[in-house]
Amino acid sequence: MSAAPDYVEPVSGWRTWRIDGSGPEARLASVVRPAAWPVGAALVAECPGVTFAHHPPGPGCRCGIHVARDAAEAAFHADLPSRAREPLAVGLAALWGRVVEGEAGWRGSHAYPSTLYVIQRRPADRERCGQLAWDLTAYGVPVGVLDCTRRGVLEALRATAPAARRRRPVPLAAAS
Amino acid sequence: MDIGREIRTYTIEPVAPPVPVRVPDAAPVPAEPAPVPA
Repeated sequence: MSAAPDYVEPVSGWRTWRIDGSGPEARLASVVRPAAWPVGAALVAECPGVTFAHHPPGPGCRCGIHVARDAAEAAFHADLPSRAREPLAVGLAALWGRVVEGEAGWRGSHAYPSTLYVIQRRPADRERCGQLAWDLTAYGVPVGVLDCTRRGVLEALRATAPAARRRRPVPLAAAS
Repeated sequence: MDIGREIRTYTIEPVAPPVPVRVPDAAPVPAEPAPVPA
């Protein structure tokens, strides 16, 4: 018999995705590791470490699926110059299973996107971004295009998504 | 993505699945034949 869970509501946090357009329809992929986010099923983390086997997120490891407490963290990654030409999406992801909570976010074993914004950086990309957004509706969650043609991702996100304006406080346990 | 100093670890088993359940497209219903005027 398994132990009772500590919580029954998933954590919700911000992250940035790469949009993989190599298949017949665009799909989400992680920006750091080559992990494809499946449609209709949770992404289950795997530890890439080779020193010792454990289920993510392991203690003393960086494995697991990462989400940020603040939209600014996801926007920072989306606005890195090295990613300026990549098709990207930002948004919220639900995280559950085994979860490690940090001061700036969480890393967990299971995740699924809950809200997606395709980043449009140039006016000429409008049609392309609309097509990518259409493809991403396959995930069954709200999808929009984020107009970043004249502003950064965070500014656009805060103008568009009310949740991005809120700074979620660091839990009291962090102060101890 | 850096989550900062780690505070605690817990388990979450959602009551409601965070993965949307896709309803398969319903089979097309044949249209009723138009009534034939008497």
